[in-house]
Amino acid sequence: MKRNTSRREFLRNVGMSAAALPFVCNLPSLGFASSTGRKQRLVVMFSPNGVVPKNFWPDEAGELATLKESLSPLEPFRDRVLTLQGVCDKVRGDGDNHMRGMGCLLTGTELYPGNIQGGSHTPAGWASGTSIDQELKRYLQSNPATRTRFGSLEFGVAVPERADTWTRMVYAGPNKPIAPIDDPYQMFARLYGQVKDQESLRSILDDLQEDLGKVRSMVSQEDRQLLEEHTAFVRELEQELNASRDEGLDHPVPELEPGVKDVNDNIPKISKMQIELMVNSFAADFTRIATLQYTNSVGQARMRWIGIDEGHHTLSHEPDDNDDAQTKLTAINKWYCEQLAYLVKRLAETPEPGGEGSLLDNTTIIWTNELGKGNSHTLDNIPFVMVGGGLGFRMGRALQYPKVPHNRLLMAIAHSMGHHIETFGNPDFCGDGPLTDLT
Amino acid sequence: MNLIPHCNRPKCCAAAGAFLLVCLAATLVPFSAARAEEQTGEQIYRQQCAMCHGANGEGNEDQYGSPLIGDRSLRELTELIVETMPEEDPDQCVGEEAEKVARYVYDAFYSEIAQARNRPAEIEFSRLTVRQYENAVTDLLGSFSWNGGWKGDHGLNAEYFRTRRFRGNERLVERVDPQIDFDFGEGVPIELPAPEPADGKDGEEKDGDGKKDGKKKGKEEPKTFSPEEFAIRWQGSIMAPETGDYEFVLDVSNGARLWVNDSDTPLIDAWVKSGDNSEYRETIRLLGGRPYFIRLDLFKFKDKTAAVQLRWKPPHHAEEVIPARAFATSRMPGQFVVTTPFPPDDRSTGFERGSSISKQWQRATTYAAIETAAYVADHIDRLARTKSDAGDRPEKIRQFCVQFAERAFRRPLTDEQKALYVDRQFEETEHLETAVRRSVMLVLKSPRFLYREAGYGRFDDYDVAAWLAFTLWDSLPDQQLREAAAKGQLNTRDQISRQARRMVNDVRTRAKLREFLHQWLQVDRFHDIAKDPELYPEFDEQVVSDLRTSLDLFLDEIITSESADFRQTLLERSLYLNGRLAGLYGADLPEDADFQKVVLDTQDRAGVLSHPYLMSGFAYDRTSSPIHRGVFLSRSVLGRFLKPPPEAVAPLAPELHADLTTRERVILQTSPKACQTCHVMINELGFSLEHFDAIGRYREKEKDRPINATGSYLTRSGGRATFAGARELAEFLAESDEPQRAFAEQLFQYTVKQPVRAFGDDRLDQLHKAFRERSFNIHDLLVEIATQSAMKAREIEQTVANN
Repeated sequence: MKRNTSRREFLRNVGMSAAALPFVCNLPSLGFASSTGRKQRLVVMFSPNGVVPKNFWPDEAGELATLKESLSPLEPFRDRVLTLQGVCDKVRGDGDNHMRGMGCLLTGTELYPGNIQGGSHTPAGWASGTSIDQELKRYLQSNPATRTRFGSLEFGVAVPERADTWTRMVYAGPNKPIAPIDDPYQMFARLYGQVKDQESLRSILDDLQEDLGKVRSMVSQEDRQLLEEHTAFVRELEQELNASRDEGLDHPVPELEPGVKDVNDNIPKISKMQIELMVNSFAADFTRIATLQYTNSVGQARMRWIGIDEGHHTLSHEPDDNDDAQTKLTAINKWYCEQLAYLVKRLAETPEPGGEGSLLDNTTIIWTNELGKGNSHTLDNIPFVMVGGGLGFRMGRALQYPKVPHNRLLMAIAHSMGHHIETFGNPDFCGDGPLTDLT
Repeated sequence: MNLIPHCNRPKCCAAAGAFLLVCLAATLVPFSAARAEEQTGEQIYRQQCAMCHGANGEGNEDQYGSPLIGDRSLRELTELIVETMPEEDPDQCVGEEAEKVARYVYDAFYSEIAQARNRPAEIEFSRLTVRQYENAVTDLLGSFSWNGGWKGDHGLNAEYFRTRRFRGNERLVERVDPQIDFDFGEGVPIELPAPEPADGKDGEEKDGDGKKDGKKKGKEEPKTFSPEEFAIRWQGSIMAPETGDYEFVLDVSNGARLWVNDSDTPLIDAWVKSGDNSEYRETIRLLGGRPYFIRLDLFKFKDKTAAVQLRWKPPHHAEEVIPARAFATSRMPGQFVVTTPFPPDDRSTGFERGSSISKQWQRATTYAAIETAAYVADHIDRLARTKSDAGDRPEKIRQFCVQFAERAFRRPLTDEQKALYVDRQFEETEHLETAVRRSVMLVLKSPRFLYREAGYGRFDDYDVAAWLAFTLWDSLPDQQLREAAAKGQLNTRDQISRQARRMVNDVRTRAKLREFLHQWLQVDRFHDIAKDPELYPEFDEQVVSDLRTSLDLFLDEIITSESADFRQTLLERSLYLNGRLAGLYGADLPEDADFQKVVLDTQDRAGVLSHPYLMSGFAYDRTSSPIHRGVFLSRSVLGRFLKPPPEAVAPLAPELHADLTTRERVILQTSPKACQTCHVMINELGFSLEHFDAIGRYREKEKDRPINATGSYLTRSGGRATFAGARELAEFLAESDEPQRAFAEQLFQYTVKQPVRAFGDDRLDQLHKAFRERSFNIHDLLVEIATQSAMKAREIEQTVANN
């Protein structure tokens, strides 16, 4: 998609700066030996436009006895689920609630003033801080024991092809939004492109040698020397490629269904493809931090596959007494929850390579949203639903907090991964330290 | 030997910058006839050694069959001679005599360098040079696209819109803007006369929740701009003068996007204005001498002010607002540019050539093949002129691969090659995309693409087409050449030279010619010219950059002129200066003046010879350097062969000889006999430019003493020319055979990438004759070089084939 970037990236990945290195510098042989303690992984999954609270939040705090309609797909994993009600995005400043809901969600700090005008309030620009996933990426990458090939991977599904405050939640730093990759083929190329290139390269070398032989016989004796050297280099390349294959991946490269176009009606397919790639990249330890962003803040997915023709955002503006809209919005969130459940299931059935249990045992997924509720645009009660054992939280519970700032949750996530930051985002909202009651 | 002690002043080295060697106390061979009373090494050799070893060390058939060649050092060789030669009486040749004869033998035929020099010149089987590879791949893919053009009209199309939506019906102004450098303050971009009936204020409701603004219908649209909201789009082409990384800098207080060489994905996306962020930088690699697509969209909405400036930092230049001369309103398609770095080509013989390969080169060709294949796969529908759902897509794609291979190999495929390079790749995989990748990789790794045409004992019209294209463009044949070859119309001298004549007018020839001139003038070796900031406080990075621009404007003027007269490079009186340079170099221009030709008639200026860029480059950080200037004149302009000095010698520190002028100091430093053989020539040439100080400023005096700019030159034919100052030097050089021949030889070797002698002993004479007959027109010389070399290459190959 972004050719310039991806080509530069290509060069970085193949280590072009050191063009003299052998061809095997592609994939790390999986360095589990170096890791001490268990691996911890974090996934942030995003869906937009708020929820229908009555069909989402458990009625009471305490043990998670039943799940409401929107959360029902998680039923098989109920004892591994934690819901956090009463966590609020208290960041104010420029931008409307959709913009701040998105831009401050993982950064916990204000948007810069700017030229992007929302439906109300003042125009705004990008967030003025780093997002928690990137903060943790930096933390993990700074330690050889937790360093991975990518550090973090940003997946997307049906994210519009435009960079603005509504389409970006991940920030490498102030004014540095990171675009999610919503094309599974592009993500595949990022993860496995070199393997594929090497396969193609290997497959042509016999043909190349065949023709080299013919050309060699055409030139005179003195001139032949250059071509003989050439032939020897090609043979060397072949040996390097074979060597790199032999020490290559110890898990198979996933197969993607070819030709799935990036259109609304393919959202379910693309969602599954992205989840498969994420699970694979965890199994290969390519990364321990991932985000998965469905559409964008004010996203307009039309979920025709579950019988809903209206755009999601348009529906979310309908008043509470519109039963049809409430039913549809509940179903939409249930569909997103199904994606979460599928990811959970895939993680649960994939054994932790080189460790105990499943990938899920060492992964926490946080499903969240830029708004508490669509029609009020409130930033209170931001949906935070966690699944899995990555952060070591006590699961199977419904927690209710007295309107605490979400910065404290972001800090708690960092602390539980061993990164003991004093504040995160706007320090005014970090007063009482990391959120308690989680463990 | 009288060795000059190292004074170890790194500052001097840094200042000289352009040179590896601090000084050139060189030994000159074998031109200068010795005038010494004692015998020269050569004379001793002839008298005492040649009988057995042969006149040129080739040996004699009876006893000394093996030629006198080897890899001993001079010292070892000397010892060997002292101890063993002549065989009948080793004591006969010792001491200084042995040293002399050893030096002669070593330089004339013994050493490896001498061996290389004496080897009969032949057309060498070669690979593409890096430049040829890069241009070939770009043009190969470009051949499947539409043709752009370069209008050279110094500006971009600008469209000014009433709103931020860039809609045609809201466009109020269309014009050509020479640069993008605007500060609209809090006002409108352009004041337009108010419309007749004053319309109500256009109060728009915005719903940023992703909804499009409702368009008001039936309402008279205002015909003036509002400071609240407007948008501007600039579009056209940008010329990249040299190959390398270009950093684009967008300074904007509003939302903007910049596209360069890719109309799909912006190079800089600054649509979101956020906080104080206003400067955006991105780098893109571009091939020199080509125009590229460029577009900049700007919108203002509710921002207090509006301002935009587009700058760049081209290779070898300081950051600057992109000048109008780099822009044109014509459009270009996106071009693929390989970004894989290649190891530099061999330049040991003075020109880049593809005579050797290395593992790094092999690896670079692999990565570049992968990179190119990925681009092709990503753009296959456009390249193969098909659609993702077209029924004949597989056929179209296969057809594309055949054409891709044919254009890469510069000739039609045989059935066997088609089966190997295309069909087999498609049969072995079910995915079209994978097949395309394989086929492209295989083609780009093939010797048929990577190696040049000479050497196969065959040279048909296709080879002539490729020969012309590589000689004049460093690239592949275009459609006209391909068609001419297919019709057998590249056979006669007339047909070939007609094509060459057409090709010379292409921007790619200009680019190649300009790179040649940089090499001829050795400015391609200038890096970081820096001067003593106390002596030359104004001489900063910006000035260096401007000086290079000044030189390039001059060279471009010659290259693009009808007469393209070589002599003008030496004789031109005027200098391109802008406001900044004018202040420094003594011209009267407003400070903000753009580049223009200025005649400095009191300054003894003469074309490139006194150009301040060269004068600064061939100088130290505090003083001029007659030696560097003399070496440049000897080697580049006169084509003399200079050996590197026997010892790296640091220059005498000016402060140790405070009372000496530069000229006197150089004479003192190079007075030892060992230096004199070369420095007699070097110094005498360099002294003639002593009117120009370390930054190329004209001076009448140094240390309160009048400059002595007299110099002389002993021509190859033995006459001594004398001159005082740059103009007399230039007039001598412009009318002498030696610089003309040297220029022709260097241009030949730079373009053909083979030694000129390989094309016949009299080749250079013929080229020189043609050059003179055509009033030293460089374009005509190029046509001759391309035509004569192609015909000779064909003749040689056919001789090989017939034997």
